[in-house]
Amino acid sequence: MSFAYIIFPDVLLDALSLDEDNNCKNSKLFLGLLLKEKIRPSSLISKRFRGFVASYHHQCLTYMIVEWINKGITDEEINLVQLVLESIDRDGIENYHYVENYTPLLDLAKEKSDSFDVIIVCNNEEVRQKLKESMGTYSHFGKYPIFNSEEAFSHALNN
Amino acid sequence: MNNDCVCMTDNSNLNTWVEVIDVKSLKEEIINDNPQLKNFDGLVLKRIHKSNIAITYEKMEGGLAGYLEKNLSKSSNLPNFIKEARLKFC
Repeated sequence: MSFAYIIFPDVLLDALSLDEDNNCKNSKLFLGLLLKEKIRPSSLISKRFRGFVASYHHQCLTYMIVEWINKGITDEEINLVQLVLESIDRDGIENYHYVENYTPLLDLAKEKSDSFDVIIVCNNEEVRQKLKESMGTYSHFGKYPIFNSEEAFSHALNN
Repeated sequence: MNNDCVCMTDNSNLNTWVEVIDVKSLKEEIINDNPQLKNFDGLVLKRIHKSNIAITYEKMEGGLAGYLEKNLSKSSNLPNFIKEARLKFC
């Protein structure tokens, strides 16, 4: 069984955070696991689990990174940011007309559901609530479990 | 095997592994995705170009998590930028 973790950008930001709460710690561990799976040769065959971020969100992050560089982060920090981005793949459409930030994630989840068991990973409680409401209201999005980074890390380790 | 992942040796231990990654440059990625940035401030792209054409990480003790913990600096600007960025995704 192959899993696709569809990741909201807050998990990536948590991984780069110095905060010591569980979300930040587990985001680092979870992305580390995804990176390991991605670059381990066996994963090229098994594709047991993969992490995806929506292209739209990836673009938002890219703009932010350019902004950070302009404001002055170090080369080492650029490398760290890039390393985190490398842990996941981006996919889905770049729709400039998205009104709500969480909908690119649902579009991508729908796209991946044909070939993977989809799990949404999001630490932001407000977004999690909106996701649940949208999945309950609009059937075309489909329904998927929503994990925080701690649950996702545990799930990836145990499956 | 693609250009993103050239070589990996794995001892099946989450905490210690050796890897060599030839990472596609962030500059190239940014321009490919955002053609409008071709005319972006040259200084920015020059810095990206210099530091990200290829990155080799060896003996990344503690995996990505350990590497991030070790290398994120409290004295840097990044943590503040991360806090600002969170607000944009709420």
